Amino acid sequence: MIWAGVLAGGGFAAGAIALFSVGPNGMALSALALGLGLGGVASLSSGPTGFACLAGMGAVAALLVFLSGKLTWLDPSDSLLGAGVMVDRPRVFGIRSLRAILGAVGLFTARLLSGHLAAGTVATQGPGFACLFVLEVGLIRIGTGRGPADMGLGGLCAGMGAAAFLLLSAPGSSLAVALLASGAPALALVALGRATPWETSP
Amino acid sequence: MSPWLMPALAGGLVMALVSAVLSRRLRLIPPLLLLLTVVGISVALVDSLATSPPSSLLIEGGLGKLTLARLPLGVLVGGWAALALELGVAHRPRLSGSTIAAALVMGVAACFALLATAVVPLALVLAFMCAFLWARWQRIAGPLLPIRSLGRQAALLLCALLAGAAVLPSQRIGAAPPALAGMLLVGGLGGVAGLLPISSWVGAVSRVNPAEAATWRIWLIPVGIVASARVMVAGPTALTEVMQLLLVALGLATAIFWGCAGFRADPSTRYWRVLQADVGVMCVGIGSGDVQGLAAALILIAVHWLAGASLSEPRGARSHLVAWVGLSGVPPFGGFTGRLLALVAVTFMGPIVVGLLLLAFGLQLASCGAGVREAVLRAAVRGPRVSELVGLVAALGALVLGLLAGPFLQVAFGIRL
Repeated sequence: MIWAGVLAGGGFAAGAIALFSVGPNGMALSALALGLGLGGVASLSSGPTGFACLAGMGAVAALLVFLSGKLTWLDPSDSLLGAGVMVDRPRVFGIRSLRAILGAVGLFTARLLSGHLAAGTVATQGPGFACLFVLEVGLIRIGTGRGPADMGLGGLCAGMGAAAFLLLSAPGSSLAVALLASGAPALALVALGRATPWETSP
Repeated sequence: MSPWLMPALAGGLVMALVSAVLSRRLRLIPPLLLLLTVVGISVALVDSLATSPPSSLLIEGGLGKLTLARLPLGVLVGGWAALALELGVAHRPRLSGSTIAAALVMGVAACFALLATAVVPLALVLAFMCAFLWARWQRIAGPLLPIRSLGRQAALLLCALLAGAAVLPSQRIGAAPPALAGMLLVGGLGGVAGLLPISSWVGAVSRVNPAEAATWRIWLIPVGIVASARVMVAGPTALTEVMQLLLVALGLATAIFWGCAGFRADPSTRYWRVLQADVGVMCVGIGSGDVQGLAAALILIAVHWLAGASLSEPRGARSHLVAWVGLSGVPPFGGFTGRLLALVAVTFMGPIVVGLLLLAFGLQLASCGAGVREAVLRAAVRGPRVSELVGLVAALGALVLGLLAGPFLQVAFGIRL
């Protein structure tokens, strides 16, 4: 039970990193953190296989996003989306303040919902709570996103959160589903991680 | 290997040669022949996938199986036919090879979306389709606000469907509230069709040419509607009840909102708003859970395949007039039959739902009336003979569909009313 709390804490830390990260290196760091944090959560039911599945996916995505800065052929964003235009616009709240406020609301909502969700044999007040929080972080990144990279990271949060929750709730039969659910968004993040933003960063 | 595959490949080779010879004189021939080839190959692949025994690897991995029922097959064949019509009426200089290639990629993705039974593969294919159009339209039009919103729509529907897929196993064992799973699934599948509040595609389509925009109408909306119907049929009762409520509520809101917007829209964007309002009516039909509601959705899909192709023809006046009449809801034409069936399907839900649906019908009638008026004012305009003729035939099809709804549904989708 203590391990469940510690690993769930890792999931929350990964969600927090994904919530506040900015720029291509932030995308790489978020992918790595999500893989390790939610891999730990998934390992509660699925053991080392579940951890290897998500952590491996996150690490490979992070490595590819990082390397795409050095090897330009790894970055297909220009050919996919064309040249982007960065504009600046006044905001009532800074982007990180807005994400912090929405993250706090998301934390509260995830706490409420996790009380109604059971994931397999593990008590879900911790691990399921972390998965829901990461899913909400994905929604926040998409809603407040200022460029294609935010859409990619939001998708990865949703994919990793869903994969971790599936591995918690149906450990025996959902490895292929988890690989697919986390792998396709990870591919999208690699493709969009270095795309030109629509709006400037703070 | 399917017996269809070899004839399709051989036919494709012959057609490619014929296309190369005729391409200078008849520019319409190469894209249509290419389309026929791809249709043949995709039908062969779908046939071989659907008739082969289900893969144990897929089933054990929780990825479901690939099956093709009569209804999705009808939608698939209808989609390819609608695409052929669209190419027939498209304005030549604006119809590039990449537009045709994009429509074909979307068609192949739609094949997989209609074959997949599990939610995760379905979510990934639908998100791919939406993101593919976003990326393509952003390359064409630049990162304008409506196109950026389309990117958000793709990411949001992926989020909602993946979260719904994650919650479903717990829902089956009764450990998750059905409201949560229902909201996530309706959010995702409604996002594909463009239900409020995720209707970004309506703004985005006005930034690209009609042949490009038609891809959404031909593939994504029917796939979203059919997927919603399949999830509703396959889901547990508690989930179905929540989805029913949400689909009807959001469908009514969409129909009324976009009905008002269509009435006030300028001529270039009016059709897309009318289409989106009809998507709301289709969702109300699906949400009713009745076979007549499903029939209403399918008839409206077919009417928009035909009338939409006709309205894509940029310089037609007669064809536009007939198409607007077919869409308007005037008896006994296609739009009227589809909406009437939706109305019949929801009568058990009480007078408020029926009243709101009638309001939506009235708004659609007014919007289409404005379209008729515009077509009459441009009566002197004439398009190229072939494309106007194709458009006129398509528009007449939308009229006749209302009279032959029963036989059409039985032949195309295997549904008996």
